[in-house]
Amino acid sequence: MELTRYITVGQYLPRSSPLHNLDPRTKILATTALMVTLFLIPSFAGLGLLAAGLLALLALGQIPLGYALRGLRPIAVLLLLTVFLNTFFGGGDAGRTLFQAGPLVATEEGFRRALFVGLRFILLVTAATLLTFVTSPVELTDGLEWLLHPFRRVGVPAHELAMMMSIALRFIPTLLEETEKIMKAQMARGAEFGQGSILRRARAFVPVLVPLLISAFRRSEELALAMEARCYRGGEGRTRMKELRWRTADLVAGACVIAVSTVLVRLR
Amino acid sequence: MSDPLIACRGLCHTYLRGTPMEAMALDGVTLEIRPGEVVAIIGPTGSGKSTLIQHFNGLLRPTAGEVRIAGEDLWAPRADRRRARQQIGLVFQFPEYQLFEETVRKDVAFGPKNLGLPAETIAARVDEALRQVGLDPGRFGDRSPFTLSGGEMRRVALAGVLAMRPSCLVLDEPTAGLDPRGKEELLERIAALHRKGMTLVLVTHSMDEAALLAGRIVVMQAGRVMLDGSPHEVFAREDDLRRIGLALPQAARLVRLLRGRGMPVGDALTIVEARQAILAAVRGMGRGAH
Repeated sequence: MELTRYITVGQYLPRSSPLHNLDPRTKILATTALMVTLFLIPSFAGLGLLAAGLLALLALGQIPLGYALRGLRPIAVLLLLTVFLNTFFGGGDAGRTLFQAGPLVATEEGFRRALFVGLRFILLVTAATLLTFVTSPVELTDGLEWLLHPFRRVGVPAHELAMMMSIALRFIPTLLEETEKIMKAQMARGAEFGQGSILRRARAFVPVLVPLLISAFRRSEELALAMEARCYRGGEGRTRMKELRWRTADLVAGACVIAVSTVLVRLR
Repeated sequence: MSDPLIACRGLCHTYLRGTPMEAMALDGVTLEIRPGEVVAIIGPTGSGKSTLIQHFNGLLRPTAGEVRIAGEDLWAPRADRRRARQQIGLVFQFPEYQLFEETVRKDVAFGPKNLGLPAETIAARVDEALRQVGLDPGRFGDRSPFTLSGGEMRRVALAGVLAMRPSCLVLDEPTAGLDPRGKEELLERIAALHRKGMTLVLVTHSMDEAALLAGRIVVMQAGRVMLDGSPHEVFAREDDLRRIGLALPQAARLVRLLRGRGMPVGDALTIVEARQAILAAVRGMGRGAH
């Protein structure tokens, strides 16, 4: 039982690759651009090229492919549901009928759309995971804060939002570990998980959830105290140990992303 | 000699196998625990102690090697790991963090309930387990575990495992974070369990606790068993222990210091032994002066 084995979202993999060395702002903006592009890409060819591009980026970031794909496991159900719904309801009445099961009609057009949406979904998640693989939580926060800064005038608490996000990211692995520990402790008392009806399975998690919640509250209180003990009082007047600095590499990376996106969106 | 209760052979464990964070925690551990023994497992942080004990009741699956409980291979195709979990009661570090029920009684009943016992048997076992850890069932049984002190909560958690009537109790750092009195009380309860025939495995960072309770000490280092023997044998290897960041029990250090100053003191590992050794030496010196 190793939960961290299956849930890789929000996991940072410390390496020294060209991707790791980019400015976090570049990486956040590039990821956002790629995600928007994903929704604008009209053709399978475009998606295919983007997939190839992401594979190249994974290699460049020294992320093992198998490990990156593992991040898709928790969303497999959602993915299957998307494909299923699109197969039967996505195509409208257009296209040749593939097969029929009672009132459900699978059309060729629907199936094509299902594949398209499914692939888009996979690429979306992979792009997001790639960002966290190659960017440490601290860098992510700094980058986000800088990007949100202009919106402060309209009342967006940029620093607080960024801090909350980075704390949340930071605690995903910690809470997973904690969950694993509590599950093991309850298993040592004869508890079984993942057996019986759905109701029984859900009930079996009460002995895990209660201690987990208590410990999450305790942790947050301790963290708040530790931050206050180091004179944290929000973003006002706070300076950084590591100043963000644009480099040539960021310029090149940004240009590449813009060029690739422009081409992909037009590719038929 | 009786059959070993727990037998590991060539036990290996690698965490997160096949990921970039792969880490080998156990590297060929062969170890036997016999009924009635009190074994302390010591070793520096990250030496594999906690991983090892999670193999004793089948919470982890060996990457290689085997684990047998009372002769039965834990990972044979039809092995009954639930039975192993009842026989080998595992108490994790800071076990009070696993309490979840509304009342102490209900929480202690969780284990026996999972075993599918009838209600009367469960009630009897809960009361018995609470008494074993020194909590009066009448006074504590209906209270919420979250209103208790840290030491009391830990004893409730211990009772939760005892209520399953294990033949062996495996404790990971049972006294960590307790105040001196809480420590002493808990150790006394654990010793009392052993006097009634319970086999004990104790993972600890405290050499004093190991020397006080254990009849045998296993020293782990980098996923392997480095030393395995009686407390006197193990603590005679001071240099080996120091090399991996461990030390001698306080009493042993005291008698060594005195010997260094020219006092003919015999060996001692616990406070009681040290007292006797020093008294004997003082008497001997007194006679010599006359």
